[in-house]
Amino acid sequence: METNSRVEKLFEQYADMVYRTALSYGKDPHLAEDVVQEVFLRLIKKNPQFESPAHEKAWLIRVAVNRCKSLLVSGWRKRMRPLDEAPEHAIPFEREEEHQMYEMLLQLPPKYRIVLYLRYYEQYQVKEIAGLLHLTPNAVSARLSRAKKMMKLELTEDFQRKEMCHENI
Amino acid sequence: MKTYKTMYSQIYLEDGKKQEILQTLLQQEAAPENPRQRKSPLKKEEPFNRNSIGMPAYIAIFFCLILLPGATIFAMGNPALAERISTAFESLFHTQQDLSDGQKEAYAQHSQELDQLLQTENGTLHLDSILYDERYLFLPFTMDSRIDSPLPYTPSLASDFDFYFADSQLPLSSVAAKDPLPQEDGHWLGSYLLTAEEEGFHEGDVICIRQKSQGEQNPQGELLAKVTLPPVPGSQDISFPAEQLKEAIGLQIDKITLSPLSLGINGISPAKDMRIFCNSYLELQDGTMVRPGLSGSGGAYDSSSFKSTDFSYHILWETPVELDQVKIIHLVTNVMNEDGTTGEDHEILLPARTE
Repeated sequence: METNSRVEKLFEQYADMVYRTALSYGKDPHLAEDVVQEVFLRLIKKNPQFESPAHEKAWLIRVAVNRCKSLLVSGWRKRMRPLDEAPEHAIPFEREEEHQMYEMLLQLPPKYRIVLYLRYYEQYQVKEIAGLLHLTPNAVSARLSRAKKMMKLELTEDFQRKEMCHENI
Repeated sequence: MKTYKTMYSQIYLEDGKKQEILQTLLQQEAAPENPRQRKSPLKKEEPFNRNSIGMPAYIAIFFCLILLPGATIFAMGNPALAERISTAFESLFHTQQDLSDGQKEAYAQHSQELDQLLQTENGTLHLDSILYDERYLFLPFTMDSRIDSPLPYTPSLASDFDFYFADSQLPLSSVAAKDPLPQEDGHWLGSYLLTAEEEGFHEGDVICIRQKSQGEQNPQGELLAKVTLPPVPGSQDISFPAEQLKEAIGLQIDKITLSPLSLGINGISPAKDMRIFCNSYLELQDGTMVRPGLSGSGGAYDSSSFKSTDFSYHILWETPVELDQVKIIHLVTNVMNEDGTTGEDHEILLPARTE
């Protein structure tokens, strides 16, 4: 029962985080749901002991990212239609600008989305992200910088598109 | 960044899905002892640069399909069944399969007839046969054509079912659901292809087929069928120079298994590597090459040390292979980068001698 409590507790605490991590990387909600289940199944099976809650959280993120990579690069998804293929997931954001930002994020390559997510939502430091993703701190900084530039470019282009629309009207 | 944070705070697992997953996790945890883990223990956490290479002995066990409650089991080795499976494979790979007698025998050894009817919104789906080895479960099905629905297939059909192990509750990975094709007899022929990834299929595994969950009201759909599986005839462990391979490609391979249907490669890689073997192929005694029909990876989970990753890669051949005809395994490995690009292929030739 103790382990059950541990799993339940960790699931309650981190299921959404794992889901967001998987969605950040893979942008497919069905894949993200699968990843959540697999990450926690892995936790049950391996029952790893962690030095601290921070290490625990880092392990879950790491396994989630790794599982996403595995699924995304596998021949399955390249050559065959997934069983649960579904249309793009529509998240009912409260504000239009949040919806727009999400759409822009979806245009970024996964490696940029994930560093943005870990830095600006999960509040990890560059060095910590480097540890999580097996990158050098310089590589993480470079990705963050490029990701922000790309987002800025997207925002600028979006603004220009809207301006043109207004002019045409 | 405020918009970014508020945006992400609105992304979360729906309560129904959360409960469904939690229920699965608790069932898995509550299982007193997982016989699957007993048969196929997970590798211990070990540093990547370990000295000894674990090489578990493998004993190929000849078996038969034991029991399918509610379904009829027919005898093995049915030539018509081999033809039937062959037709289903043709529809899967879009290739013509002109099989030799030996290849037909390979299909026959790895397959069984079933007689399981599953009701779907689109009509009655008939699981009429099963093809399996340690890594793959192929379930061709037929559907009756319906006057009011010329093509009895919609995406909902593909997601009508959940497949999972009864004892561990582990879900099977759904590789593909093949669009049904019209047959001369008026039926439609389609198929499901499933894998157990690193877990593998073993004797006594009970595969459950359940109606897909319907949200919070019915987090677990109706149980439709159970298939009890035993392992595979004819799988062989392949000998290979582990230390030389590790030196050449920086990868610790623990096990290579070849069956008439597939190739499995298990090992440990540095965590930063995402290894693929999708271009690997077989060279037969007569010079014929057997290409992969599908390939995929599984079990690439980081260890808690963050330094290494267990990996399990499997390749389903486009046509069945007569093992005694395999001369060389061309193991082609590569590293997949995060942006989807790959490095240079590294090809290793392994004579197909067994342990």
